[in-house]
Amino acid sequence: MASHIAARCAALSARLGTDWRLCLAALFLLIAPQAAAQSPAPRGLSTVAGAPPAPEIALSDVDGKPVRLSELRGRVVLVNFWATWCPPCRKEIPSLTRLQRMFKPEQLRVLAVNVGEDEETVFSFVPDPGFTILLDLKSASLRAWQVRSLPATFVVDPEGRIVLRAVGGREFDDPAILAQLRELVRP
Amino acid sequence: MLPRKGIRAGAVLAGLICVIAPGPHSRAARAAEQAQPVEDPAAVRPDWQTADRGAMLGVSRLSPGQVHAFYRARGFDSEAAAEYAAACVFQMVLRNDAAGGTLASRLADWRIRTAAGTQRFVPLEAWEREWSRRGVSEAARIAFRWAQFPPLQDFAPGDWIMGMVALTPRPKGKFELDYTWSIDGISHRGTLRGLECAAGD
Repeated sequence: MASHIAARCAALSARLGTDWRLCLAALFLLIAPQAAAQSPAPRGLSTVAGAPPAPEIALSDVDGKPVRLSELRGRVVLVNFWATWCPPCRKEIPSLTRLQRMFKPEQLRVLAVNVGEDEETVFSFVPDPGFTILLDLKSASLRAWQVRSLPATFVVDPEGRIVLRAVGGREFDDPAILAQLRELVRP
Repeated sequence: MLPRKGIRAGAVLAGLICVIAPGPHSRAARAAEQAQPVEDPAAVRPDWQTADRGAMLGVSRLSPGQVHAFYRARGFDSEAAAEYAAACVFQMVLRNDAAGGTLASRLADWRIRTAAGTQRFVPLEAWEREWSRRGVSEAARIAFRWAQFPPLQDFAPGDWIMGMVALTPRPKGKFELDYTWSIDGISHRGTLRGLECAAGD
């Protein structure tokens, strides 16, 4: 394909009496913006300006056990807001399971905050996810975290600051994300 | 009840369809369902789509049957679900692929242009007032709120969302969607042409 384009450029340039490299450069300028528009988006997490303190989360897990975010200080916490009926949320759940397996619980914890659904609904969907699922029946925590759409994910550093975030689904064991998280994890 | 038609548009809701079906599910059935791959909603081609300066906007129409089934399964009574399903409902996806900065959208600034004039998507607060008046359960109202395309959203590169929007009255024939967003504070406008509401079931 590339050699074909180069040959066409050479033929056209010979006819017009111009340098064939100018033709290739012009083609590149025409094609590059379209290629950029169609290329897949970066799959990492974006940096949160100012690293604000994470609002407290005090909810119960699916077994009724109370969990507080502030009690996890000293480790990285990935907070994910989700619902079972949300397609991108459903899609990224297996990658959260894989992510939790890649880190020791004292290094990184995944807290998945379910929005507005009861224990039976959540348990039926993910009976054993391998990470902590919290139930926010009133969706109150989403206001505190200024969540505007699902799924939404935040990474809290060991000092309790929000340092990374993602709007929309991700594959959390993507190498780009793993590299970002490993930078935060204390050895 | 699974949707009978509008399969292409419904593909955007592939994951939703799995959870539309009401009634008891055995734990084994749920586990089997969970084991199936969930189609990437962002990868499904919408009915209308534009790639515009590093952002992608996709719009898919949803049939009244799909919409009604989805909200019934979220706890709406049949009449309330029917009210929303009677609108012209779309599923929208907006993604910042490579806009070169933070993309900010404000849905209230978007306009629909029809032969009869212009209209806006029904604001979320208007629906919330209606569900409150009708006594729709809190759990159902929470699901409704988070299933909608958000009124405001910032998208860093790589961010994307999907959500429903609705038009009442239903526009007749084809119409245009004038969208707008800003990238690092610089406003951008564009138009998606030839949109149509889904036919009734």
